[in-house]
Amino acid sequence: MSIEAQGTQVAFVHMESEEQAAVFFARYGLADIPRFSDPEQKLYGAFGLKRGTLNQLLGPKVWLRGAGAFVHGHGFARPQTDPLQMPGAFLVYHGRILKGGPHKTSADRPDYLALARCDGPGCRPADNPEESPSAADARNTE
Amino acid sequence: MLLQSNTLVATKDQGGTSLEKHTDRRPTLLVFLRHFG
Repeated sequence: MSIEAQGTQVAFVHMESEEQAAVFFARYGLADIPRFSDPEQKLYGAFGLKRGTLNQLLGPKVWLRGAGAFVHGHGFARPQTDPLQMPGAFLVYHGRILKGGPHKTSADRPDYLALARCDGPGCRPADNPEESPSAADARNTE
Repeated sequence: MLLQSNTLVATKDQGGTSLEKHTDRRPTLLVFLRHFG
């Protein structure tokens, strides 16, 4: 089951300008996915995402992931934004963070499908009386 | 953890829709990226 089929939508937060992001996301076929430009990293800060340590940014796992990406045709470029900013992923609903957190290293790849499953407290229709029926239906047909 | 409403309202996507509206409409998996380089 895909993330969207679970009734959850995906959105990205990035530090680039919207102009740069439009090119980047289009390259990966993600132009229509909502994205939020946060060059001042205010949203990163609001979610508790900090700058990484040396091990989080340049440890063995990061080199391994980088090598794998290189093999798949991804290159290197000089960062135009804060290279120390740690990434993360969160499930948010009605202004509340329900799951997720910062990545352990910059090479981390969490189980996004599990993270996107909204099935705990804060996800029930009784918790969110204004929820759209389609979102509730999608989760109830799991 | 409850996020500050003004943060969600002020943050808008490429089409001008606020993050608050997105996350009120449906559960949203918000993926924070590193730099693109």
